[in-house]
This record gives sequence, C-alpha cells and structure tokens, in this order.
Amino acid sequence: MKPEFNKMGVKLAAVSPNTVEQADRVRNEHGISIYQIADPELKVIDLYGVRHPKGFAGDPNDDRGMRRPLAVPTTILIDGAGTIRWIDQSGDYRVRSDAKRVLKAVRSALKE
Amino acid sequence: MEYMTALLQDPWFVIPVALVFVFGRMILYFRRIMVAKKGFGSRPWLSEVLVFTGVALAVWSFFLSPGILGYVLAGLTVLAGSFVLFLFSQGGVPASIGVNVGEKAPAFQAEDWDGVQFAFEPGGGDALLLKFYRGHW
Repeated sequence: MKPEFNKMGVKLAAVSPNTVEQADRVRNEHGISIYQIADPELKVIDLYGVRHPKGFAGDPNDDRGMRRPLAVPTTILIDGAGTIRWIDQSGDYRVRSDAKRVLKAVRSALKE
Repeated sequence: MEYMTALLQDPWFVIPVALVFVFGRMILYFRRIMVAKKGFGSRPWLSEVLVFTGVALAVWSFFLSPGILGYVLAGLTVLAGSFVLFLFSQGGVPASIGVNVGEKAPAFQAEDWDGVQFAFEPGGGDALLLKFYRGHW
C-alpha cells in the first residue's frame, strides 16, 4: 500500500502511545515499515482529540499493555495546504480501516 | 409452525441454539482484529440481534425445566451474552474528536522511532496520512 501513497505524493505517519523504544521494536519485531511517531505522553493524540475514553491514564512503559493509555484508531488525511480532508474513526480499538477503502477515499479526496 | 412450537418447547433444542448464537459471536469477536471494509458507519447490528436472541432463548429455557446441566449451560449463555451486549453498547465513535474535515490541521512536534524530532507543519506541500492507533501489539 505504501508505494501507492508515494505515487500520490502522500506521506504516511503512524502515531501511537508507544515510546521511542517500543516504536523501534515494532519496526524490528513486526517488520512494519510505516514511519512511526512516538507519543507516550499523548501530546499529539490529545491535540487531535483522539484519546480513547476507555483507555487508562496509566504508564506507557507498562509492556503488558492492560493499563496503557490508548488512542482511538483514527485515520486523518491532511492535504498539501494543511487542510484536513478526510477523517475515518472507529470506536473499537480492534477495528481498523481497510487498506483499499482508505486508498479510495484518499484518491477521491485529493482529486477534488 | 407446530413443529417450530414443539422445538421451542424442547430445552435441548433451545439451549444449544442459544449457546451457538452467543459463543459463536463471542469467538468471532475476540479471534482477530476486524477490518471495517464498508466503513465504520455500518455497525454490526446483526450480531447484536443474534446475541440478544441467544440470551432470550437461554432465558426462555429456564422455564422448560431443563435439568441441572441445562440450567448451568443456559446460565452461562445468559452471562456471556449479557457481557457481549455490554461490550457492544460500549462501542461507537467517541464524540470527543478534536478536529473536523475542512479545518487546518494542528502543527505538532514529536519524536519518531529513531528518537529524532519530527515536526509537522500544515501546508508544507506534501499530503500526510496520519494514522492513530493503539500502539504496541
């Protein structure tokens, strides 16, 4: 999916409450190549207002994950002028945006 | 129709059906990360109906004097089903999202996976797809 976005001139960045070390581990252990931004203090997440209301205000270093703060899975498309063009959000942290659907939405949002 | 009524009078038909409805849905829910193909607007109301029917059937079976095993199975089904229904009721998109389509995206700075500062300035020329996710799996 990444090359498709590159073709359209869209950069990808994933924000999560991971610490830098955890984000780095995601890259190494899971082979994830999407650029990760570490937001253990939920600064960016709060700025965009996507903190999960059910998540704990616990310790982001807690590796077992049960007491960690969460972000609501949200995909936000920002165009080259800095305007938000598309928001896709799920109430359930198990549910993610489908790749094809995102691609389609990004295409049509940027074509206008 | 008479056949249906007879089946609904038989606790050993009612309870297994209730079990399958409730636990089947539960297993599907917890087994994997679900991907929303049709958008998040399409809530899985069908599964709620399924689980609710399962719970209703299990409650109904209490009145059919199903024996000790029947009571236990039906009771478990009611408990599990209520729990799943509770989970469903907790879902839905929180109304608290801080940004809207058409607005300027807020600028931010944060460290990336190499510990290097990443600065986002809206209007930098490149489109950006920001994905927020729960992190650490």
